[in-house]
Amino acid sequence: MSDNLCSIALPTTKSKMAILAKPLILIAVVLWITSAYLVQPLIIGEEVFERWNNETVGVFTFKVLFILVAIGAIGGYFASMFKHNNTLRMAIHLTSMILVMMYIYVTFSIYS
Amino acid sequence: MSTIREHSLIVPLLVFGVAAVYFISLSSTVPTFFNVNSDAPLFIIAAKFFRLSHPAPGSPLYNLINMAWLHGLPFFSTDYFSLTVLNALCSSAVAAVLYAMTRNILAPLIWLAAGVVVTQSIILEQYCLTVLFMLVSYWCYRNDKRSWAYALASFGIMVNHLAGFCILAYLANDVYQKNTLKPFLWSFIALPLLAYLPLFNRPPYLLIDNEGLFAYYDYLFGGHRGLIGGLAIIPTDDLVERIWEFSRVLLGGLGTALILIALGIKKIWKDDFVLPLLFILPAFYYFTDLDAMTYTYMTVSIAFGALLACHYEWKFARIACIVGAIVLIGFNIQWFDFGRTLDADQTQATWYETLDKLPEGTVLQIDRGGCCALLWVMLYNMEQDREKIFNIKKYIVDTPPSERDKYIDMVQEAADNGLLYEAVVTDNDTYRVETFKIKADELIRFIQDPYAPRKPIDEKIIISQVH
Repeated sequence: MSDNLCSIALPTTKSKMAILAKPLILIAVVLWITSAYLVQPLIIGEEVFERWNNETVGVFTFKVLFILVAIGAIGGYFASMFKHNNTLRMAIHLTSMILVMMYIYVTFSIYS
Repeated sequence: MSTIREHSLIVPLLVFGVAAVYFISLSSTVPTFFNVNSDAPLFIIAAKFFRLSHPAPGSPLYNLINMAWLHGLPFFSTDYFSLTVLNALCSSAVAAVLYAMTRNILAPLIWLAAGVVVTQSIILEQYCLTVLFMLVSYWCYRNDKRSWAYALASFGIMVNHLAGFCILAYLANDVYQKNTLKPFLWSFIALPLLAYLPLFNRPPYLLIDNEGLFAYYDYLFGGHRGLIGGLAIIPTDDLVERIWEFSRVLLGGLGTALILIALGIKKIWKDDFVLPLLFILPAFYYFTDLDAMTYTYMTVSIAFGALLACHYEWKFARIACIVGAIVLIGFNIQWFDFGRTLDADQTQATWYETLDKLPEGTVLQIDRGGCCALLWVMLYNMEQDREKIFNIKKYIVDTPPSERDKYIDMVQEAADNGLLYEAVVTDNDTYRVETFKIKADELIRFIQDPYAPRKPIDEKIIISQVH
């Protein structure tokens, strides 16, 4: 079997994956062409044009999520530096939590 | 034979030639509203009248190249077609570079088959040149010419900010690999090109209203501030729609190659995460961006996805991809041929001619004419060498409510003198835009609250239509 996927799936015997791989690839080609057909109205601008100026401006956006995750990650990183000092570790976690709550409060206040 | 294939320039040149014929034959020779071609008038203004263009970040290098091309080769039928040909050639160069980097026909075929690539290669846009800079930059990085890589990415940013992803990915890798960060300093080499902004910002001011520093800051960052990561997770309406759009762009663009890409990422991730990052980051950027039109950023992911697909040896899947891509190229010729199957009515050109029929001092509202029509009025005034048409939408949105009274007076006066008009899209499928003489009432309500949801035009406010 020359196909690498098949050799990854099962190096010695033909697994179900190996038998199904080629038909699945052929189905994927059909799906590709179907998706290319379906994406046409979007990429010639027809769909997005109808929505121009009508996007929902929400309060909980990806940007807010990124910042929350960043605060948590930075807090977690600093806390991990003090694994043997429970008081300090908990204080850092608490600070992160307060910062997250403050950020959410400020964001929602501005929005409202 | 294999030596010729691996080292000669013949095949890349052949790929370039075939791709150029493909893209140029599909291109639009006259301006069009299709393919979210909304930035085109800004690029023409910048190249023809030596002004500023789209803030991303001002595209100084792109504008300088366009200027040289437009004024150096003045034999094209229209300015628009001239710059579109340049874009098509850049896209063809991307195909050639993809072949040269992989020595595999699969990579350029994926590029040529992706619908989003085709639609952005046959209009006047900057993404193909950006991708070209990014690819060559990555090629240098891969060959351990890191200073060149950072420098080329820096010049890429002067075309479009998407090239910044190269610098982010290289920097992450260099820090992780504990490489010296001296080459990173080359990222700043293209910064002097930003001097373009104050040098070419001159009356009549179009995008930066004055010479104040805050105006420049607002130009560079203001427009994008609310867009990056601005897609709302709650409420979920737009998120659900984006998932559907993203899936179609990704599957319709890369299709079967996604299997090879996934296997390629799995194979190389531990040794080299730069290439996977350059595939994932632009896609993620589009996915989280507020503006639905930024699906155009996916052109970058398509190019780096094509490289990734060639990293995994699976003969059957590769042949299937090649066959699928060739079939799709055939379909693309049917789907995206300007003048024949796409924009057969040349709706932009038809509407643009009606601007000649508007009287001097017209106040024109283009909110329901869409973003596509808005900026063409700016170009029209530049070509007339005077502000024949006052493009009121341009001024209202950025004006605080307390300062909008002067526009209400202006609209009322224009209505009294029969000079108040509105351009409206009357057919979304063909992008037909028509211009009507209107009454003032509804426009005044719009000025008071420009962000309120817009309803279709009420026939009661129409006085007459401009033919």
